[in-house]
Amino acid sequence: MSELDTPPDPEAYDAVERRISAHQAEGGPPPDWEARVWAQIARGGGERSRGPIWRWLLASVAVVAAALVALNLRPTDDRFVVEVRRGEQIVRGMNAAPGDAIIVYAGDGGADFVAVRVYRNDAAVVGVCVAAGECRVTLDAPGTYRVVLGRGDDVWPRPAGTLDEDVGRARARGLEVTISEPIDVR
Amino acid sequence: MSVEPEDEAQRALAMGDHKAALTALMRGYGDTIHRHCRSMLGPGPLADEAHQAVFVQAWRDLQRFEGRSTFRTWLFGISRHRCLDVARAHRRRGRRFVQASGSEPADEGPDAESALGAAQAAAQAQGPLDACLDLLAPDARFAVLLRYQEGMRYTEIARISRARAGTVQARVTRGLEALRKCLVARGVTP
Repeated sequence: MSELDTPPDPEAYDAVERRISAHQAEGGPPPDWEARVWAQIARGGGERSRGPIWRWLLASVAVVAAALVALNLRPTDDRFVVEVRRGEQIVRGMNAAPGDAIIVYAGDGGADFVAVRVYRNDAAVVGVCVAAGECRVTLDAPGTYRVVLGRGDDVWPRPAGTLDEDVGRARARGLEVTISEPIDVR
Repeated sequence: MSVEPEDEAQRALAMGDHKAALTALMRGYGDTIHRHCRSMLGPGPLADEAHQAVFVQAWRDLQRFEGRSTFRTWLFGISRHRCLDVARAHRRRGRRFVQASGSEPADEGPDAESALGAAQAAAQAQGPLDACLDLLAPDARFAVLLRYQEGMRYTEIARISRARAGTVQARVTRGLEALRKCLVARGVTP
């Protein structure tokens, strides 16, 4: 289960990304590295013979068959379940109090990318999960919360505005967006 | 006019000249793959060993290259396995070295001992980002580096890692958060 109790800070992430991009470990390959590669190949390190071809064909057929069986057996998980918990107790309805938690279960729906965001008052993002599965966000302040699920073949751009703007950007990228009923925290 | 390594290698491969193809790949991508190996394993002999192994395996597999990806992506795919292999072998050496401490290292030759010593010295000399990258799980480190150092798309990294693109995205996101926290803990403002 992933848990993000604090909102992601896009600026802090941007700074880390810039740091990694600019990071160049010092040094380069040894000057004679190409000669070393050729020497290793000459010693048999690059030996291409891998036994009779039929053995590899048989193994490949077995792997493909197993993959096809696995694909057919794996059902698409379309679930999107949102519940409020107080401790371990499930809170009925969509009314909650500060300190309660939202537990979201999101299946991948067969999509490459899955993201769950929790918005407070349709403006502030208070939690993000970027993988299918279970996700927990603590409700630490009064307000109206909505859980938004985005699934599709592309990433959901980072939150940059209100819920409506972010959902618009997600849909513009072809993501399928589902929004939960509002959860009132008082 | 310079020729792109992709074109040069492709042309050589089409003509059945594997030696020329590998030469083009080594000249075109040798530095890039070495930088990646250094980022994955830290500077030193381990990175050199993995880097060399990448191109030896490229030679072995060149005849099976089908052009489903660029040579660059293909080489990064090989480097993933070779870096993990070298890291595992290094851990095994390290364990045996620790177990043998207090007495003469029983089953380590001088080469292995000096390689380990050099790797440890290199690790101590590395900066905070290297140290924080070291704390990430290998798959997360690999994904973060390809995403931000090499500018690859999630789908491309997913193909190399044989994982779902969403899984790669999750690794990168969690990796970034872990890096941010690690840098802050080391007194570095990201």
